[in-house]
Amino acid sequence: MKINSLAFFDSLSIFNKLQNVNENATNGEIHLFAYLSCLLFLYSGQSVSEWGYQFAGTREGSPFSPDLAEAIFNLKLLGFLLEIENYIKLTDAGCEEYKLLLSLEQNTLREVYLKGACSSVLALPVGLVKNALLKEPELRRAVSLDSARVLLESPGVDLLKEQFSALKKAVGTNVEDLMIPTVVWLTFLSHLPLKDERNKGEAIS
Amino acid sequence: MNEFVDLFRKIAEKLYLPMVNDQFGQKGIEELRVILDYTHKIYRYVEPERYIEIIIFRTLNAPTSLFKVIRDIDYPDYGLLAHNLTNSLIIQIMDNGRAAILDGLNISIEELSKIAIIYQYRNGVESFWANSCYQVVEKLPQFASMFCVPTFRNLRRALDAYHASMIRNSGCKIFSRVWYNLTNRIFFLNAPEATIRDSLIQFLRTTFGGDADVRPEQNIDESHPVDIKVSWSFTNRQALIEIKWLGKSINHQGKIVSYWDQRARNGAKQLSDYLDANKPHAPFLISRGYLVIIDGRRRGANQGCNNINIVNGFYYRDKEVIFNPNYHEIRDDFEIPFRMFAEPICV
Repeated sequence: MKINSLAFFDSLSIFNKLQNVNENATNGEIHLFAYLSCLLFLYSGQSVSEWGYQFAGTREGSPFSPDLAEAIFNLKLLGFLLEIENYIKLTDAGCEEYKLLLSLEQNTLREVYLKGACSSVLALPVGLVKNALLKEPELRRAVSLDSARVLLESPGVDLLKEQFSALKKAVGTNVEDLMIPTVVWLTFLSHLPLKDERNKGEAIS
Repeated sequence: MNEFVDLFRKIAEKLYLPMVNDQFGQKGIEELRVILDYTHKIYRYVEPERYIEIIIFRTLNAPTSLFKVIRDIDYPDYGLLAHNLTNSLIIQIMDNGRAAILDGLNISIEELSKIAIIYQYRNGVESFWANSCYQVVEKLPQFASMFCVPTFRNLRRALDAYHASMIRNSGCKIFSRVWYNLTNRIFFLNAPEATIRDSLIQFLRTTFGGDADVRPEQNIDESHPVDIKVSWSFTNRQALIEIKWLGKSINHQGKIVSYWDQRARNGAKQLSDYLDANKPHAPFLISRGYLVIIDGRRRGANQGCNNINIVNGFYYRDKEVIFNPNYHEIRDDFEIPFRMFAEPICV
């Protein structure tokens, strides 16, 4: 499979940022924060088809991109990532590669969204971000249908656009930093009730 | 649409990020990001609840240091902060990236906030200050600070931490609801299992990173639900958690209902059966069983008992349950049971 250069850069950038706060990151977290970055791209008025790669929602409610999975696989082969038991660390060579790729204009433009998404873990625990995103309209639909599906296609995107348009009005258009709308939106999602997740009526003990 | 706008506005009004942006603009947000980053790093070494007050700040366009510096340290040496014996900690983040520990502030927080972004932890309440305005941080009730919530990659470590921080002293707000009388923690309320399960779910969801999916009561075959199932994104691993409680509860008629060691043994058998039943339904998954035993056993706690001494209250603290068979020894998918003793308040 051909390596998607955007997914390659995004993976390095997200590992770099999450590692700074939590000392390491996991495969699932890279897909999660890349998806959140893509949502911020949509929030900023861009078309998700311009993001550069697609996401699917698993039946458990996790976003997944085959392009990111391929990029992470290759980053490990190249020695830019080191897998240790249940988590992954960015190596010194990976940090250098990230700095080098950041100087490219196409990556500098993406960095705004990646930074906005990853900054949310400065204000909220990563587990809370994960569980808030489960209640985002697109992932919520994947969970409720109990099946994997491609994310960010109509009509789910229309509901997201409605929320983002309201979010923009609420936080103000003079806000430069995407960390602010991200944290406001995630806080909103975290307060939404979860549907009954039990797949059985009564517990036995 | 307008409904969403109002909702988002209400949320934004209670968050410190928009406040800092309103007062100091993008420059303020950049400095706030630095403070948040340092606060996370400092809390790897410092337990905020040990202090009456912690202040971490960064000045905007002001001289490097306005105050008397005791010492300044770089990140790799933050471990030194763990040895600080004072009940307040004041740190200024310098332009060179080092953290300066200050002797004190000779101006008020409000005055300082005119030239600085300030994080303040005081008596368990966290807030941010900017230009004489402040905003309290909405916290998760189980944790002393929103910035010291651990991220676990290993379920055993997470369960050990759950025992130490949430169960032992009933530190979890949800778990504390299981007691018939919270002031003595002798008897459980009737049927506390759902509350215990909710407490553990919330803890795992908050602390277990971004790739774990934690769900209650998941069927492992047509009719048997395990209390909690944890699955990890894009792997074939899952954990089945069965919870049992030991001790005495008071039912709706005011009578005592006792569950002792046999209940834990039944739980082990039940979990072993679940793991067997799960195999044909999930042949490509590697499952592991975790038995969590919430131990509220007290010696001599009979009908009408309102207080308990240390000898009786802690009698079972180190009394392990004897399992027969020892599933964790005869199966390779069964973890050593986690017995979590929940301490009483003794007279």
